[in-house]
Amino acid sequence: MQIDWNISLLLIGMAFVTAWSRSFFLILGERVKVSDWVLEAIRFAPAAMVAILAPEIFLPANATSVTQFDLKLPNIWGGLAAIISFYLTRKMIVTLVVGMAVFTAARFWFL
Amino acid sequence: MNSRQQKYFVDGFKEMSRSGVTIFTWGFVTGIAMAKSSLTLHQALAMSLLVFAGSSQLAALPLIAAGLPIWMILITSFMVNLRFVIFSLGLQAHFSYLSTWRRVLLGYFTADFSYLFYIRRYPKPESIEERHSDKEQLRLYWLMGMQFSNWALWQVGSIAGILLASQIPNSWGLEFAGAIALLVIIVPMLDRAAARWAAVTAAVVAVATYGLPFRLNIVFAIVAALVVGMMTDKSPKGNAP
Repeated sequence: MQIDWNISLLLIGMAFVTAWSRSFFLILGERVKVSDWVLEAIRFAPAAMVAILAPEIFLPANATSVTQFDLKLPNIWGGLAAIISFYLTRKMIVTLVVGMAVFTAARFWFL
Repeated sequence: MNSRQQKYFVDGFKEMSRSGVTIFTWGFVTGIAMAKSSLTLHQALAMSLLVFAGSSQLAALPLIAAGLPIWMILITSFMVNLRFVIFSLGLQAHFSYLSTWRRVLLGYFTADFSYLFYIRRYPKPESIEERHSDKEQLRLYWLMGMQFSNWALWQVGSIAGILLASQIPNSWGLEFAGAIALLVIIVPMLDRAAARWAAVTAAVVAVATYGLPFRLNIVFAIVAALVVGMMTDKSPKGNAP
């Protein structure tokens, strides 16, 4: 097995980034006291996950800019169908099946 | 671990396992993406086991294929992980009393769902008196149970994806299934109007500023979401004196 040192270094670096970002403030321990208004603000942290997810639904894979937004993108229709079916049924599997079905149908429709 | 701690650990494990389909799907999709990228089989397995951060792995793959320098990829990873920096503030309020190494390990293993489920069940940190009387640290064991479940489900999904990738045609568009799976976890968390406004803001800003280098769009989206969330929040301030 040949070892690519560049990749090895990168993977170790990324593992370090994972540990560092996830313990960024935790690592400071009892030296800091997080003030209450900060704890209030970060109750909206789930929205941060939306920042990761939204481009995957509203932009093509490997997009480089918002100008590539296009209503013919199957992701958008699949995503909207998934949101609606989740609100109606609250079931994971139904949402997955409906979302993927609309996504696939839209891909053939707009081909 | 005494029997009460064990019970909390198992409860945490079960709580996380209820989202098992999502974690597995997301891991599976990430595994496929790694196997179909420029990484070798061993590199993909090493990435899964070492990095343990799906969104940062997915963001890194095209940059690795494009041959970008390591430091640029690491900065991008950090930006994609910015939400964890915010989560670590929340964890700090709860677990600052642990030893340094335990804090680092606790942080490393606290991915999205572990943090969000934990903070939903325990919104308030214990006061100093409460902590001194709580020798068993049951909350910590509940969190560790969730972390263990999350880690195991993720690695099984991811490694299955790496090994089965060659059997799965690109035309299935399976990576979109990962996005839907994530949606199912996030939507129920937006249980208040202010949280929904924050989420809509995050989505619009993240998409509108998508072209920025180092995934700076995520930084802007998170800041905008927190500001809008605070501004539209009408619920009484729980921590106010």
